[in-house]
Amino acid sequence: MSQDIQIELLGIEKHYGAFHALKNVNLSIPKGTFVALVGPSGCGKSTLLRSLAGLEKITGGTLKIAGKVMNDVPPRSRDIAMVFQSYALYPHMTVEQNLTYSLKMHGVPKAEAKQKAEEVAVITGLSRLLDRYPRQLSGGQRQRVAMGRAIIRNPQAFLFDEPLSNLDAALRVSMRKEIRSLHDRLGATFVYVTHDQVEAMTMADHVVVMRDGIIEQQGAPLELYDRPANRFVAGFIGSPAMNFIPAIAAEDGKCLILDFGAVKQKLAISRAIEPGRTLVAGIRPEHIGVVAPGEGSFDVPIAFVESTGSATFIVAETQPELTIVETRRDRVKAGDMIGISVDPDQIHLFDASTDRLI
Amino acid sequence: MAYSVLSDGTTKARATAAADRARRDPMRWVVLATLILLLAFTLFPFFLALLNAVKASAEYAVGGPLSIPRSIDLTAIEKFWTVSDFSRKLLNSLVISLGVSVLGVLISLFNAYAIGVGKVPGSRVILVVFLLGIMVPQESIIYPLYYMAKASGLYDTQLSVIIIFAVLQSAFGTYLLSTVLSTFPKEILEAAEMDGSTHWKTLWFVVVPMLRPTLMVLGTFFFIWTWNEFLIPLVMLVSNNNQTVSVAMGLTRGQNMSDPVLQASAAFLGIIPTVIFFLIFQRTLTRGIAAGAVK
Repeated sequence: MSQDIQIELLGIEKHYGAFHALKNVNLSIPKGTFVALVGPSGCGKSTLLRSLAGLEKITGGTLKIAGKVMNDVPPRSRDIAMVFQSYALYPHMTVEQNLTYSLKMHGVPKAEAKQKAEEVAVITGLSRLLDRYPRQLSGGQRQRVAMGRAIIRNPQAFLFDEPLSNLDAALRVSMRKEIRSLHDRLGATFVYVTHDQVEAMTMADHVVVMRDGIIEQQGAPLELYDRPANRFVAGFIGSPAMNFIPAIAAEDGKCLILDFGAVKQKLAISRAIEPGRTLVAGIRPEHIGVVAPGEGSFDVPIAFVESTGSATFIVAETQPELTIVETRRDRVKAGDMIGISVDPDQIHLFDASTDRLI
Repeated sequence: MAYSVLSDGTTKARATAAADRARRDPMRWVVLATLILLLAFTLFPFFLALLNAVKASAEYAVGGPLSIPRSIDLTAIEKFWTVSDFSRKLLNSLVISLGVSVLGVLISLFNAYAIGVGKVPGSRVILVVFLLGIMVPQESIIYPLYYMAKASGLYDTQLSVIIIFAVLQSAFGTYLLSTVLSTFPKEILEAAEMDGSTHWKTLWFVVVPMLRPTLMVLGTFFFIWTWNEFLIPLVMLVSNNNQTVSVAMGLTRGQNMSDPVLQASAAFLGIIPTVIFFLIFQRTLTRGIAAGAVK
């Protein structure tokens, strides 16, 4: 069974002086999985990745790769390749030399290395660029060289440190697909760090959400979307972010009294809750339906409307604000009253003090 | 100056007017005059040396140092060349300066790699000590150096001079390269580490090629500084065969030949190599200072 686990992190601790960067992190990554580490800046995802690479020494815990303890093993002996955010190409070497540098370090004969470089160039679309220097390449091409440099080593695992953040939006979308298809083609283990939850959701088999050095939740992308374990994950995954409204369970236990400041509204829920319990109701913008005033659970005035052509974003003038997304053109405008309709099954309930899912 | 063809005459008139105004600005003339004056002061010794090197001794006795020679007389130059075995001195200076240049750069590189990249503990203290090394006057260390050279059997060898200057100048080199290396892109070093590169291989295959302009500038500086050195070669190199150009020039005074024309010849011949070197290395120096060193 342990052969199936490529990377194992047991109780990982990392301190930078007084700063506690990683707190008892436990993670098991099966072979061939595409894992995304996602979270806000400073959550520890890059620290975790660099600890995996061996570029940072962990302060506590055990790190295993393919069953072997790697705590004190230097990066060059871990058989792991890394793609850096800024690509980190060797500027004085051609693309071919960049690709074959690792082979040169391991004593691979020149002819064999050259052949491997040509094979990798085909996979990454660099065949006509082998004699160019990094300064002569575009951002996307440099990215591919960085990936090619990792691929040529045929390592046990690939580590990606926010590789797409330096690219423009359109290129990012196409590179996402390329990286995912590369993973499927190689069948290798990928550990991918990003702050963009859309990247994580669309590319990964398994998403790990981190905050302040701990793992808040991990699972399949849709699992995190459908059943976020706490308020943080609920607000982090999904765009636009989930709406959170403070609420109290009604006396009959089958309804919520939503607290919009001066206004209170009633909303039906799908299961019984102890009456009087204070909680936070979470509803995704895409799960709120817009109907004519009076035909929904309650009515709200519109603060402003944004249209992207294919979708309409409506912000209701409530306290707190409600964001609604409709995937169609809506003819409503600011100042109008609209009716709110919500499927009770799509309401997430979080405990008001612990923020955990009820 | 290139003038573009303009459809309307007004723009051209405005451009010419601006140029005219600049030309008429009185401050420009003051600056120009000052620069010409400074240039004259700087070039005067060279000019004086050249003037008197090609003068006949008799003419000097009559006209003094500033008189223009009526004919070019190369006897003084020839005499100095043969008497001092100048070609031999040139070779010695070349060997020593080149040796110091290479060795000094190597020492500086290794030190700076450990301090700037390796970030060894106590780096700041080490750098302060190196700074002191830059500031120590040669006169204060000449006695210990003399005794060390004698004790190690290196006295009166070019090697002693090469070692001494390589070490002395690597103080500056270490300081400069440490600063440059501490800002070396960390991710490239990490990428090399991930690729299986050891510290040693990273130094030679990644760091040195990227640092080449800076290293060339440093080497050039070391070369020129060593070429002009006088005190230590004077003390360390006793026999004629080992002496350098600067020592040969210095010895034209106070010996049997206190001939001003000969001294001028010595000065002239001694200056020429430096000028040639500077002309050769000028582009390296300016390019290196602007791009490589600052990077």
